[in-house]
Amino acid sequence: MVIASPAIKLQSVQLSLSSGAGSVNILRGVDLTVEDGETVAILGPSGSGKSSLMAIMAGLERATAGRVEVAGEDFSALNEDGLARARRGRIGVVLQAFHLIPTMTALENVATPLELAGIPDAFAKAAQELESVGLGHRLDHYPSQLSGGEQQRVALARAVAPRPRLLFADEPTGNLDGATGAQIIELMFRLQADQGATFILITHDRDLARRCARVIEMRDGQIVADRPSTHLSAAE
Amino acid sequence: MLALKWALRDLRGGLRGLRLLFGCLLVGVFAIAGVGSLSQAIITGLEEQGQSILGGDLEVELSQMEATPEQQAAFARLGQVSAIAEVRAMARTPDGRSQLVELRAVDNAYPLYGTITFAPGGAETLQQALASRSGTEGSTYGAAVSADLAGRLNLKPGDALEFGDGKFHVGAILAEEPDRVGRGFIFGSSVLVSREALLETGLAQPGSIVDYEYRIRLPQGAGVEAAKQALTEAFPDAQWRVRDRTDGAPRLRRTVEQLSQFLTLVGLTALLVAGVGVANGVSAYLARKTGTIATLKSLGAPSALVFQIYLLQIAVVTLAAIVAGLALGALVPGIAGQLLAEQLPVPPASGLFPKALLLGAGYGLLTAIIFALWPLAQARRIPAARLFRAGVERLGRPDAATLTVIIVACLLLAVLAVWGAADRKLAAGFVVAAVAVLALLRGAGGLLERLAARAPRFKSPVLRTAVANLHRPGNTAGQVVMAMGLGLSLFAAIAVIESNLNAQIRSTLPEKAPAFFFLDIQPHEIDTFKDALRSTPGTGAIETVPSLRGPIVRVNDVPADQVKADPEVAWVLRGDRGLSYAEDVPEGNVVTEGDWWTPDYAGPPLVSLDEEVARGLGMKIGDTITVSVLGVELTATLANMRKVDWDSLGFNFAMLFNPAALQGAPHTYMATVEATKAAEPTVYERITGSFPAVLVVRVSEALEQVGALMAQISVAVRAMGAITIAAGILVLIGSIVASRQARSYDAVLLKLLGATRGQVLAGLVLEYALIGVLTAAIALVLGLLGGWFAVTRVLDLEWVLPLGPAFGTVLVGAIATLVMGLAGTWRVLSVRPNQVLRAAQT
Repeated sequence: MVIASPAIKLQSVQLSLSSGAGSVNILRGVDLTVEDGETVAILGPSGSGKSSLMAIMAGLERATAGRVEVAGEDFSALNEDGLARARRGRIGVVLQAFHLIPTMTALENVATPLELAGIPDAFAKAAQELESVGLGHRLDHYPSQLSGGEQQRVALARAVAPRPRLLFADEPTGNLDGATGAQIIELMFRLQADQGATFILITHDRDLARRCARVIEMRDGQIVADRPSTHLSAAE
Repeated sequence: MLALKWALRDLRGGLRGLRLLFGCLLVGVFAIAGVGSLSQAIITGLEEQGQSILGGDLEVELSQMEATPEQQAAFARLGQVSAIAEVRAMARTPDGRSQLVELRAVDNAYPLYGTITFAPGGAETLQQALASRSGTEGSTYGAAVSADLAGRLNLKPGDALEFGDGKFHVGAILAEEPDRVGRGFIFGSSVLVSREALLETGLAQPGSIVDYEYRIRLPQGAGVEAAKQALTEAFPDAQWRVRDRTDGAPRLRRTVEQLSQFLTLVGLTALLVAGVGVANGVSAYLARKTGTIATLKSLGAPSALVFQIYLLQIAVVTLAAIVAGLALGALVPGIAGQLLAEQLPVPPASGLFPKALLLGAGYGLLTAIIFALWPLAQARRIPAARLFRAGVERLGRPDAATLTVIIVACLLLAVLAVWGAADRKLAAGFVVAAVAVLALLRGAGGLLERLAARAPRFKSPVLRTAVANLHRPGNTAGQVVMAMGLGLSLFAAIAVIESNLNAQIRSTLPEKAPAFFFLDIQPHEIDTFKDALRSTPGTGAIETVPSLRGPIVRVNDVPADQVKADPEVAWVLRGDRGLSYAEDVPEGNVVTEGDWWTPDYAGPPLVSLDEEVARGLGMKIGDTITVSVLGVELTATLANMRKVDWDSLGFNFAMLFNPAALQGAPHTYMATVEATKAAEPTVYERITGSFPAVLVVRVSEALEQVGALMAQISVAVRAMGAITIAAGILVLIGSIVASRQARSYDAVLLKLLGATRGQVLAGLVLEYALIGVLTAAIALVLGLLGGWFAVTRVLDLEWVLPLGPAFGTVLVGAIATLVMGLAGTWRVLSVRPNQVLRAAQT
């Protein structure tokens, strides 16, 4: 019997960054295991280290110490290019500031990870993906020609297009108004449910966090609570 | 005042953003101020040393005749006189080595100004050096020989030497001759002997080329012009050339001036390239200030105030750059005097040269206005709404007033470039060509952008980004093509011209060039001379022509100094011309107008002129020209015009007479002979041994000397070309710096989506390779065109297509662009993704 590895396994992960004033400890020994298909919200005030934790799990940052295993790969042993390859087709990331490539159309932006992963029919699949987020009529538009909500939908389509095993979202509605943000959230959970990807959502919105099965709370670079969202009291 | 206050307040952020503006202007102004200062310093140096360069305050030069006793008495009334006779001769050693020299017979008064010094080991004074002495071979005269000749013939003081029929010994080796520079570019080393000794040589024969110079040292305070006028009034018809201390080396001065003008034009190219950098620098700086400008406007600042604030900032940096460029330019004469002492004819004078500096400042200021005003005027239009949305709308063309100022500045720049030049046609042509090339390059850059926008999309997203970088809003590909292209085109053109000249000397010449020129063959020895050549194995065709010398004194009764001649042919009116006569049209010449005389024609003198010379002097068939041969005037009627192939290295005369007109005058012969390389030493030995008075010039040696001179000029031109390239590189660096943030962001996003550093690098390589290849291709075409024009139209040479050197030059340029581009963007590869993503988030 084959025992599937967990989607994410962190052991004593530390991250310190050097700044002009000396070294700053961002993460101070984080242990965390996330199973395949789980939906996890990471809550915490600004500066608690939640975004840095996500960056390490998504391979955007390398831990200073500890072990990082993602989708069966030991991230701590990979260099920058190794991390880039590890992300290909397996990890999707949605960020607060959209981060679309300004010189590419919406279609090209979505096709890019598919092409890098060597998936055939990248453009047809990208078009389909944009159709599914309601942007079938905006394929040839450049990011600067799209509204904020539309840009975030392109970013979302780009993140899920290669059917990643892991989907990360860091404050995906932070730059959007309430109504547009709500639409994006609905879309994101729908796509996640359709694909069954492991989903990590960084937010400071407790209501939003409740939509995930599990809620982790961080403070000063450490996990201070880890519980099912049903245990999150309404008052909190 | 408010503008100034705010401008200073805004500068708290530093002027870092204006470094490109500063660097580009500094380089351009430095180039122009440096060249101007150096040439002014050399010319001032020539003027300051005018007396010793000329050898007196006044010099009266007569060709092939001495001054009459009355004339000599008149010279003596003006001041102290030193008389010199000058003749070309072969110096021979007893063991048969020989060398062409310029033999100068001087009197006791020589030198009137400056001091003559000798290498240790020989005589210490000139009198001692030239004195005769008795030895085993009887009495011999002393000769002071140049170090150059001593080196070539391995001479030391006391060694025996012969000139013509005279026996000499080396009295001393010259270390410094004060009047060397004034005599210009000469073939042959200098040797000083006494007047009596010259008579012994038998070289001063009628028909031989002997020049007599009378140098006069005027009493303190006596005016040069008054002295000149006194001579002209006393001897209105005298056929002499009078020079004074203000113009001791006119040919050298002309060369320095012409070279300096040409280099100034090349410097102007550098400044134009720098202008592109100025525009980029100012645009990038103001782009960074968009937020500030929008905020100022939202707080109620009017456009005019915004304009004034940034105009002040840019003006401060512009002035600082100009001052720094001028300061560096002003140092050039001093540095060149130290480093290039061997190459420069006189030490450059020290001091500041305001004209050169003003010119540099003027060019710099106009360039700054032309290139900085456009982006500055656009910036005033930035709307306050930019605070709320990123700018996608174009800012459009500046207002009419700004455009007018820019156009006026352009015109002033063109006028300054053309007005300051002696050859205004050339300068105007250069300005038009430079602008056309710039426009063409800009057009090509624009085409690259459009092609990139329409190019079929690459499958690879990385390569797609590379192509997109060529046409994204705010890209600088077009400007880089323009800036690098101009410098590269210039280099390609220089390579083409040089390789054409080399090819001409290497391949074309040996086929038709003779191995030797012989001068001063006396009529009585011409037959034995020819026999001697014919009997030497390895010799080929021998050509001999009668040779006389004399200046043109009148054209259609207008004195030569009043003839309005085309500058291209003005040389025929300066000094002596070689004259000859011929029964038939010389080989390689074609009569283009009029008729050639019959072989037995014996009527009034007729003359045939080179057609360019005739037209340049404004002459038509039937007009008259008067020459002076050994003091006798000869007026001839223009019978025909010829097209002369001046490249043929055979005997070519601008002026040919019918035989009867000149046969009676005392003359010598000139000859050429073709010879194999192996036969050359034998020919040389035989002729110098048997015909001591005949002058021998080895063609290969003469070509080497010309080649060395060309190489020096080419180094100067390349140095200026390098400054143009430097300006282009500054523009390239500026564009890389300006786009680094955008590139880092692209690279990180690609990495976020799974691209490796290798893939990102491939994209950068493609981007710069595309720019480099396009720039190189255009530079190749423009360089070939420019080179072709210079070779066929300016130098009048045959065109060979030397693709190799031009191709090599632009290839190096393309690779340099690629390498510089990659070096500048290398950092992009190592940026940590999270760092950039976070920075963009805040």
